[in-house]
Amino acid sequence: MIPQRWIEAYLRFLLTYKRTTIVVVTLMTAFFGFHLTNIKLHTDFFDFYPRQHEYIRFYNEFRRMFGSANIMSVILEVKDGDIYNPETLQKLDRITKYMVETKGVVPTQILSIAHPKVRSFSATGGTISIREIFYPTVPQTQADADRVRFAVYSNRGVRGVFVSNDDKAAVVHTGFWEEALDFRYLRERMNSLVEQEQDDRHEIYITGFPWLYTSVLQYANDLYYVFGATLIALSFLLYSYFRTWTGIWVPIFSGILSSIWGLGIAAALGFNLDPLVLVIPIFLTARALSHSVQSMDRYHEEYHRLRDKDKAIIVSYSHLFAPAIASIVTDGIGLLIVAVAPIPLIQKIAIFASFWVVSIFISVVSLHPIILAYIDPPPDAPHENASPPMSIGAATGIIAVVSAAALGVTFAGLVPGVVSGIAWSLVFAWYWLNYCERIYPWITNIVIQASEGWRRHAMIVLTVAMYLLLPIWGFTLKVGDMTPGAALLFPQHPYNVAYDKLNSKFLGASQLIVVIDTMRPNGIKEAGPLNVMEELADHMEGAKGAGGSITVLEIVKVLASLYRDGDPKWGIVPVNPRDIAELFYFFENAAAAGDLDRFMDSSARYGSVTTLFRDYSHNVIMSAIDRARDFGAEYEGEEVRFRYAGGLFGILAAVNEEVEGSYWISLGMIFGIVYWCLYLTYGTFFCSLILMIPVVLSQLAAEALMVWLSIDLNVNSLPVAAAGAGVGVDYGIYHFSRMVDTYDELGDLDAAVDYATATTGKAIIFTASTMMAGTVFWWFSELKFQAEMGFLLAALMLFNTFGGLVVVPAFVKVLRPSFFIKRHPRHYNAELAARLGLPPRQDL
Amino acid sequence: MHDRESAERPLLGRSLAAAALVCACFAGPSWAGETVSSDAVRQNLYATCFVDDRVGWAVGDLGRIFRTDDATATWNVQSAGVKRPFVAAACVDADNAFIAGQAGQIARTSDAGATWTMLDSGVDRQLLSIAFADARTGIAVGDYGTILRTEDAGATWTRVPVPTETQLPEEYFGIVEPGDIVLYSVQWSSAEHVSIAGEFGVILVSNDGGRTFAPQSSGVDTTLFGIFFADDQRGWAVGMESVLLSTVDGGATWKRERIQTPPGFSLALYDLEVRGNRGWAVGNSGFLLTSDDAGVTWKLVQVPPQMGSYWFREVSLLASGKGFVVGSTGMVLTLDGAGFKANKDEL
Repeated sequence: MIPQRWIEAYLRFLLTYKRTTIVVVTLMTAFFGFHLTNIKLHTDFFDFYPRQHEYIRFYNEFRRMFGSANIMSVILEVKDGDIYNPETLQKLDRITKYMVETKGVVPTQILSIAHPKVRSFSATGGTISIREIFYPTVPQTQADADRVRFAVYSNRGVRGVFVSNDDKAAVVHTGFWEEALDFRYLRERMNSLVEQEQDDRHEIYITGFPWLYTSVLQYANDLYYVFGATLIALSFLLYSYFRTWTGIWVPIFSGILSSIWGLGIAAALGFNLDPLVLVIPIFLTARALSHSVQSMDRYHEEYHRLRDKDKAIIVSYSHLFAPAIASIVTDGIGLLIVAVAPIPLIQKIAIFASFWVVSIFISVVSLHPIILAYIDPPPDAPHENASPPMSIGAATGIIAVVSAAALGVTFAGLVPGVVSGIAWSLVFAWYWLNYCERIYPWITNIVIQASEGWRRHAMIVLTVAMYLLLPIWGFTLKVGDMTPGAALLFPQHPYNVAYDKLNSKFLGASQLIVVIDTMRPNGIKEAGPLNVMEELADHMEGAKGAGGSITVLEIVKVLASLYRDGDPKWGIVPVNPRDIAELFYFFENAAAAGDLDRFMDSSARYGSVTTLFRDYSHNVIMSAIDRARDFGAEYEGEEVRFRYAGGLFGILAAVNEEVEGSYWISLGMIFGIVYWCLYLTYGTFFCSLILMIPVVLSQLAAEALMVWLSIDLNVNSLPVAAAGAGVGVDYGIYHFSRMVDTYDELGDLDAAVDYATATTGKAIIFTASTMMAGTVFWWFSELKFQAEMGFLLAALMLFNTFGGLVVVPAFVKVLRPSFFIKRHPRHYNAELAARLGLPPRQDL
Repeated sequence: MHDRESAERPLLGRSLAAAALVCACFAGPSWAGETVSSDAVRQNLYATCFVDDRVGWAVGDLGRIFRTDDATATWNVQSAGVKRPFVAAACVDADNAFIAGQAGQIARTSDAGATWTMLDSGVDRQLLSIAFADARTGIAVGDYGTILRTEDAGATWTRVPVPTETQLPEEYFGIVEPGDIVLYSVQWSSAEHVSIAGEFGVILVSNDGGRTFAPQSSGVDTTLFGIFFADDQRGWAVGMESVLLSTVDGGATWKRERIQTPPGFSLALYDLEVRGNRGWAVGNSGFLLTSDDAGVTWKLVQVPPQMGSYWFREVSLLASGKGFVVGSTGMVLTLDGAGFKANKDEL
């Protein structure tokens, strides 16, 4: 525990050197503010990749050979008939050329039936021809289009991959280099493509990871609305609580100061901010605010008691110092621990978010005493709304009717949601301003009653039951995207519609690449490795969710067949090495350079087996890679070795594995640190354990909630979930600190706990409502991810509030820790004891 | 186009060594013994034979052997212990069958496919067709004029030469010998009458149970992939460029049928059978012909456009009028009269 005299010394130091402190803080703020102007708000794909993971090293090694895993797919669909008409095929040709001219693409990774890289093989008049599907030219007549249909039909690996199985759609796949992705440019470019080519008869759909993050970026501007709405809501809550302008601007000032520091350090360290994780900074701002509210509230209380500004500052902040430091340190370390996930995105968040939290030590704990010393003391009597316009029951009825009406007219489509939302907010504001002073005690009373008499035992039974029951769901929480398509956007979003289209009409959009290494040049051109490749491709096609496999065998087999008059019975891998060599020689001479790049490297040492999958949920990815590994274990030897795992699946598997591994490690470490901080603060093993009960319980509840709501634990949600875990303990800390203080004044445990709840409870409930206000506007985000994360954080805060206010008192009252019982009430307050109706203690 | 060089001989040893290695590393197939639904099969199916309306076999890539006892509703996956493809099948009855394929491999079963025994064919050429007159007497044909005949249910095979008087197109004179040509199809119409079709429009017929063959003049020099005689007199042959030939005089004269093919498609016919009045011919790009007058006239069968991306390699027609067609990526058509049903959802 920090000695009280140190704390008081620090506070006196602050009050003595007010100006110096202000100058230092101003200079620091100017430094961070300067950097803040350079903050970059964008997604960097490399940030997702855990660089040391086997699959990512594999990907980086083979990326130049087999192309990028970040493939965008543009689907051109006809509304009537099929694609085999000159108009549609000309459109497809234009789209393909448009993609070729797009910045950031991998030139060798643009594939469609309009691109020369996708070949048609045919034998006519005893000659084998390897041509473009559109040979001799982009179709101008129906006869040309019929030829294209034949080329598509007669070449394996074209239909299903580039043309839909129902012939109503064709796709252009384009690979992008991660480092060359410019989402704003891509959005404008693709929007203009859609404008040019979409018409009454044709629909264009775009999907694939580059487009996912382009789509996410379009919601970046919504952030400003969320910031604005949150600020208004928080200001309103602060006003309704303190009824003074000081009550608004001091906490908001702290929040803004911490924001400048937190975002400024991110910019100073050269971090880019992923728009997806911005829910965390807003949450942290609310965190700073809540510390501010706790301290302001205590200061007001002490001032009204002591009637001396400086004394009130010293007393209130010396009491609050320990819990504030404890919660800031636990939050800060908790967030920093998230960095154990070896994923740059998460590490960056961990670093700047923990600094952000620690800055609260300056913005609230150190600055508030100075600010309060300068400004006028709070008004004599706290504001009481003496005569509310009507009874609370009638007002609650009105708010219920207005809520129902607002929902009704919005869902009926009569009024836009924004209008009904604003109208409802105004009515709610009226209600809250008039009745919140009655609502707080009402809730506090309920909370106190929950741990009184027999109910405290019921509460313990309920807690134990939740500990036993919640893991039933929570333990089924899977890492990775559980929902096919994107976890980030709502199902009806055009991206997901396009993704479903790609998966339902084609063989699948997500790739798993396994590389066969023959350990010698030209090894892949031998019968042995080719047969292994064929067996592996067949094996992988049997994987759950697999749509088909693509290998160089498609070319070998079709050429082998065409060499023999096109008979399918010859469409097999020749036994004779010379025959195989002849086929490759023929292809390499007849086709363009690089046409085999998708299938093998230029030395023909490595060959790829690409399997297409229709979804990329955790189970599908892991079972596919396991399946490949099982095969490799059986067939690996002198001839061939296997390298795993490329394509989108490899990257997602690497990310998922790291997320899964680090999630449990970081949770364990966060709990460890939280416990350690609690112990250092209070010096009691047992009570620290009691305080841990709601923290762990909230985590279990949050995990169960994630399972119930199908919220995925992925690279984006991990830091949010972990941030929530560390932050939640604060309620228990503030509450418990007040219990200790009150026990010292009363020497009666039950009365101390109830009094702590009655006094701190209001502040805690209020704090919880500010934290809610910090997340509630995300619920309405068009981005599913942010809506879910906002909801998840709100739920975590709610669970923690419940735990801190209800569970902790129940356990303290029932278990009666010796920390209290053996404690000597140092500051016995007879007046308070009398006020609470306690018999006077003669022994104190 | 073909590799005619005898200089490949030194490579033979290496090929066999490589083949041995492949076989060694392919030991122990894990899929054999499973029963799978018909639409779950993804391998190309190259050949089929049926004993009756329900029982038959199909063979395909990766050495897969499929047996059905329920008219292809399900396939039981069997193995002969090799992974090289089998591309030819002949069934004698529900228990006895022969299959042949790459590198001269032939296998037989006498227990409905529970076990397959690899036979010594004595050749390493690819075999493309196999047919049996009865449980003991059969012929397999393939690359480089390979004609193998057995009289002891495959225990021993003897080579039957391609007649030297076989006529080849003039432009190949001196380049290709009759013994070099690829023979694609063999069929018994009776215990004595055997017919073979192959490259350059070659048709060979034997009236002594396959001991000797005599060439016939087909009138075309394109490759013939399939041949079928309903009896000693009435026969048909099919091949590249939509060729469909017929004879009613035991092959003394062959007549080419005119087939109307859809625009933009270069079509080939691979196989044909006629039983009673019903006839079916199958080819690439969803190409199907049927006859309801015992093969006198043929008409194009309208198929869903999606079927254009499949090829059909063999047809097995039964006296009942039912039949089965196998093709690319596990495709099976169940024939019934002039109608058919595909095992793929998209069709």
